[in-house]
Amino acid sequence: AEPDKAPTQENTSADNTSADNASSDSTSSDSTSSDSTSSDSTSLPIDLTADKGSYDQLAGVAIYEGNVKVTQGVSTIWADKLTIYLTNNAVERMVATGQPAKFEYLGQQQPILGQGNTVEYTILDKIVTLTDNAQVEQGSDVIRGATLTYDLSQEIIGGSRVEMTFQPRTQ
Amino acid sequence: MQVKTSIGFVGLAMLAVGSFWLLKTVESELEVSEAPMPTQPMVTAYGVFAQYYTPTHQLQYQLTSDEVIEYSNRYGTAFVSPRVLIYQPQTAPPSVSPTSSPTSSPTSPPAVSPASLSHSPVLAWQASAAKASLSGDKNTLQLQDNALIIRMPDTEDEITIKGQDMRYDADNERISSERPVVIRHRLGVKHADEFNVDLAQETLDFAGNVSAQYQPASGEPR
Repeated sequence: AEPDKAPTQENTSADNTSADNASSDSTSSDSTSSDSTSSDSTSLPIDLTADKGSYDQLAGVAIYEGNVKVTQGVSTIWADKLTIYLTNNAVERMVATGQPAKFEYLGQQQPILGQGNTVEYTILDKIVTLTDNAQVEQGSDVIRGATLTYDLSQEIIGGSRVEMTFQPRTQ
Repeated sequence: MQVKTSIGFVGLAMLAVGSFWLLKTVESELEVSEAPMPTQPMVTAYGVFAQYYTPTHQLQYQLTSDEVIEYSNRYGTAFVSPRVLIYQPQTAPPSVSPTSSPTSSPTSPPAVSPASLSHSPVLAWQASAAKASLSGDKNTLQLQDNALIIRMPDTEDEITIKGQDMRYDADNERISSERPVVIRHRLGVKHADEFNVDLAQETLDFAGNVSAQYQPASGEPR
């Protein structure tokens, strides 16, 4: 039988609404422990593979295209195209595009699977922003919205104009 | 009627002879260009320092080599242990004004530049290999065996590209290779099956089994 669909919460506020991880009852202490793992992950080297690439030395921008896969610790992005913005030769921001581009994060909580036609990862903020058909799945729960964000250190999903579908917990 | 037929035959015969002659000529031309470099050098020189200029008198590249072998003009020149300094193409042609000597690199004596060189040339890439060969028109320098090119050596933005063979095309202002290379810069490394540097645009393209590693930025969130 079709699971009772949770009442759709139409969040019209322009600010980001942070929705604690749907499935977990994690308390702040949990998130602190996860915090140490995720922040280690965001300072690890970034490895990628692709069909081809280019580097504009003057602009400090590298572009990779074709079967792009980027990994950094427990995060992975799959995309058709990836643009890397470098400052002093270090990666400051990455923008992945695809139909859709996909994002996976295996943190302390249940794995996060995100997708959107654009997935942007800002390194110093440790935030992944999904836009354009944005969707995040965690376990059986699905969140869709115009823009969804995932905070890698807090492991918190945020978003504006979100639509959440929670599966009822079995007793 | 008879006359027409014979004219037709003559025309066909001439066509056949013409295409046979064309085929033969093309074949011989091909054979000449694929012919191995003749072993008999015309000139051998040692400890050579040479500068090559663009038609507008801009210093394009500078070459130092332990041994230089000049064959007949058709096959160009061979170099042993070449060290090449490739300069940044300058968009605006230099106006005629007093000479300003280019930045001399530690490996070569200060260059004497023609009177019309007003910009001091900017080093773009430094190249080296076990050997090299320069085409007869002095346009294509083929670097062979452990080819290495370095951009902005000893600086924060140094990039090194190491491979087996590379080609510097002076006219088109490109350095390229169709063989695997390792591209290294201060905080990362890339591998690819081929690459191409556009000296004018200062861009680097690479393709084929591309893999790369970068370091993330560190510091406070923006």
